[in-house]
Amino acid sequence: MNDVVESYLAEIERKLFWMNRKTREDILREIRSHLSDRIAAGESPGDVILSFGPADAIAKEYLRIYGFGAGFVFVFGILAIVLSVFTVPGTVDIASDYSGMDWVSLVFLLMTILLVLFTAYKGGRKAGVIAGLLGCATRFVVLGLLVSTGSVVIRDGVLGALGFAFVSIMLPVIGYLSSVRSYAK
Amino acid sequence: MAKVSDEWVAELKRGSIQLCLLSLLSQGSKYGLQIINELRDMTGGFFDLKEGTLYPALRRLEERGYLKSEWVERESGIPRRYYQITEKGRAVLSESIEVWKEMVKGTEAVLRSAKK
Repeated sequence: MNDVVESYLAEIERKLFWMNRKTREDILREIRSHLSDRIAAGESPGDVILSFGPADAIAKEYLRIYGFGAGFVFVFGILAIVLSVFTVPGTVDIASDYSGMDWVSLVFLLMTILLVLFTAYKGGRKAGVIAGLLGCATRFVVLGLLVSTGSVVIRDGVLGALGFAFVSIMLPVIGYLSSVRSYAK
Repeated sequence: MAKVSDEWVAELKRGSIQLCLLSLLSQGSKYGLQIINELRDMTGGFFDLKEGTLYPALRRLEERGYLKSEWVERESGIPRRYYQITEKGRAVLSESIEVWKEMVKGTEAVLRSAKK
């Protein structure tokens, strides 16, 4: 097809980078079919593209519907697990051989929250909740391991434990709430 | 109409587009460009959907399970993706039509009371 059309389609394709490959190809094929029909009917490629709308806006609409493909959900899920290991107070001390490194855990917590926010925003509600749940589960598992092996003790007693649980449970909640995707599929 | 912005009109129309799409596709399977043309012709140009509105709207209805789609090959040219209403979509449509009628009745009653 026409160069203008090809570069338009390529731009949409780039913007749909995060999406499942099969769905992306399907969307592009549908747009291509539409554009070629109108061009075949005698309209100019430039007009046809202008009428279809800006590639950016189109891609955003589709991303809202489909969110991340499984590959990206996996990658961001793994990232959430890795980051949230170090959000557990005590882990940084053990990993770094220094003590008093709990402030680093707070930095990791902030990074984990940002990761969940980004995942939910870009990847949709399902991706956000998965990343949040994985982070939450990791925190409980890691804390459980550390406490059961006697590596750390929970400070501030019940209040400390409740705070830890609250922060953990907030991760999937953040993932759920910060999704702009209109379909909680 | 001079003082009414395009955005405002688009907002007014938005709520009924899905219903129009389901109605149109309850007649049989159709592809995107065909849907745009038929809607425009049926409404005397009132529903002149932009592609950027139509295609994602069709996908949303499909994700909800109200529509299904299939690629249809043709002799020449790129295959077309045809959309068709599902059983679930049909049930939703007939229920929505009742809601729509109530809404029009209710809205008109209120609009009649408007002081111009």
